[in-house]
Amino acid sequence: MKTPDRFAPVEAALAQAHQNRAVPPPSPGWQKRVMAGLRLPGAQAADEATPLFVYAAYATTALSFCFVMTALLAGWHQPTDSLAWLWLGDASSIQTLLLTY
Amino acid sequence: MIINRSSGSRPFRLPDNTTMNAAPQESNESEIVRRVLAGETDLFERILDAHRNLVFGIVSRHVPVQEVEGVAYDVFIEAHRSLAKFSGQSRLSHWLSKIAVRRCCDYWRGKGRRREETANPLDARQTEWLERLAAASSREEFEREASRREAEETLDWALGHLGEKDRMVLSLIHLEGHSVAEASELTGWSRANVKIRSMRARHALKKILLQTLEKKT
Repeated sequence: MKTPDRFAPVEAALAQAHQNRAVPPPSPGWQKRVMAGLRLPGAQAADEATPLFVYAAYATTALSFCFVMTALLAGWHQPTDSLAWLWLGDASSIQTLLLTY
Repeated sequence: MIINRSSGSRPFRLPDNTTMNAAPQESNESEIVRRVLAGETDLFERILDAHRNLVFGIVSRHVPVQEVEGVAYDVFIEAHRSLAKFSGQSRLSHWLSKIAVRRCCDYWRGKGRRREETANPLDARQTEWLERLAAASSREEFEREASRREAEETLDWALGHLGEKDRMVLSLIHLEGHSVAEASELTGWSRANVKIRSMRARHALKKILLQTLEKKT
């Protein structure tokens, strides 16, 4: 014999209670408060401009990419011949460069 | 069973004197939105008039009654601020519904889980109500019990055990009868996420309530 599901009527009653929740009417001054709130700074409807830091992030990424690519192409295989290693801050290669040139 | 789990479109229940037809025509809506964006802020009041009852209807089912006005206020302020993002592809009422659902979720996130409520067991009156309901043998008996005040109190107590996302998904799917797709669109979460959360939240709710019943018997 199938065990009766004790949860089913409870769930149904809770759903009914949820659907029957009272909807309070807005108080008389509510709409005016909303309209006043719209005029506060920060609530203005406008096309939101892309924040500056987003452009800064794009620029940093692009520069980093260029820097790494330059370092690779300019002589990753020959550190002493390349200014790339100077950029990377390798002290020994700086010394080598100075001695070489 | 009373719960409607149909997969068809099921709009939010609106207050008695309001229907979706009360919203401005789509072309009017677009025109109003365009003009508000152009700086005619006062015109936003027409949007407020047309959709106030819809927003109150949604919010009142997800936050305590004393908080409804505050959350509804936030919904319209956010709607106004992000009006430029309204694409016009869907109806304004639908777009506002999504903002309202997300704002309700934010409300519970801000409040955190109400531990004091969770820690307290159901009081004797509510536990007895649960027992009577579980033992109801006729439709009339069930209806009588389901319409009692204890139903809402027990519901609030049980939902207090869930996190804000589980609570929202459970309310939308199991208590209001929205489909997974609709709940996914309203919340902005993936369908898989909604489906898993809904199953998990229902299981948690079942466990909480059945444990209460078993303790008593």
